[in-house]
Amino acid sequence: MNEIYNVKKELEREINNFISTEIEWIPLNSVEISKEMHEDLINFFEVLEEDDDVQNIYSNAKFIK
Amino acid sequence: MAGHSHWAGIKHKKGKADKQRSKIFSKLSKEITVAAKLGDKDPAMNPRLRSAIQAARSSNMPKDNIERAIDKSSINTELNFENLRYEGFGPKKVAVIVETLTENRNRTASNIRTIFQKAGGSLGTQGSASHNFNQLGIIKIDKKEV
Repeated sequence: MNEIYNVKKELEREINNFISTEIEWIPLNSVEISKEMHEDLINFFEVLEEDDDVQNIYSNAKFIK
Repeated sequence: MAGHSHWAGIKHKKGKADKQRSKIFSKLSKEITVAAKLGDKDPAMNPRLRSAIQAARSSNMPKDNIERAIDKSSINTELNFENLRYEGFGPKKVAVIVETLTENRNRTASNIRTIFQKAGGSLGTQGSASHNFNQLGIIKIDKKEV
């Protein structure tokens, strides 16, 4: 985890406002979610978020309008 | 909170906002308390705490709440929190990674397994879903700064 803070320290020379500095999971591919399926996926994520033990959720869902 | 932004653009039901905000604050506080407990109470000496405080500030958590969360780490409790990662596939075979912070891994595993199953999906073994992702350090800055 420390390497990311070393990078941040360098950036701090030019930048003042950081929004976040975190380790994240970035998808390498995606599953397109059509409008009809939006609600199902959102409900699923919301139920997961409701759980007090859950801190972060990552997925490769790509919501299509 | 990392990872939530990808569906933040989709309209959420109104009225849930307040409940969500309180839940988000509660989770942000928990991370602060655990980070302060596991390392130095000084964010300058504790990267995890630094990150947790930054996330809390970005969500507009009041300074008082942040300080309270740090103070809470001094309370001696037998509870040991672990970071556990669950992964699996949700509706439409969407790959999902769930990061948790829990003092009861059995409860958490059981609850998450149920949520996946009810949605028609399932939890997988380590690596089954995460190979669809790259784990990276992400630093987010305001556009105006560039």
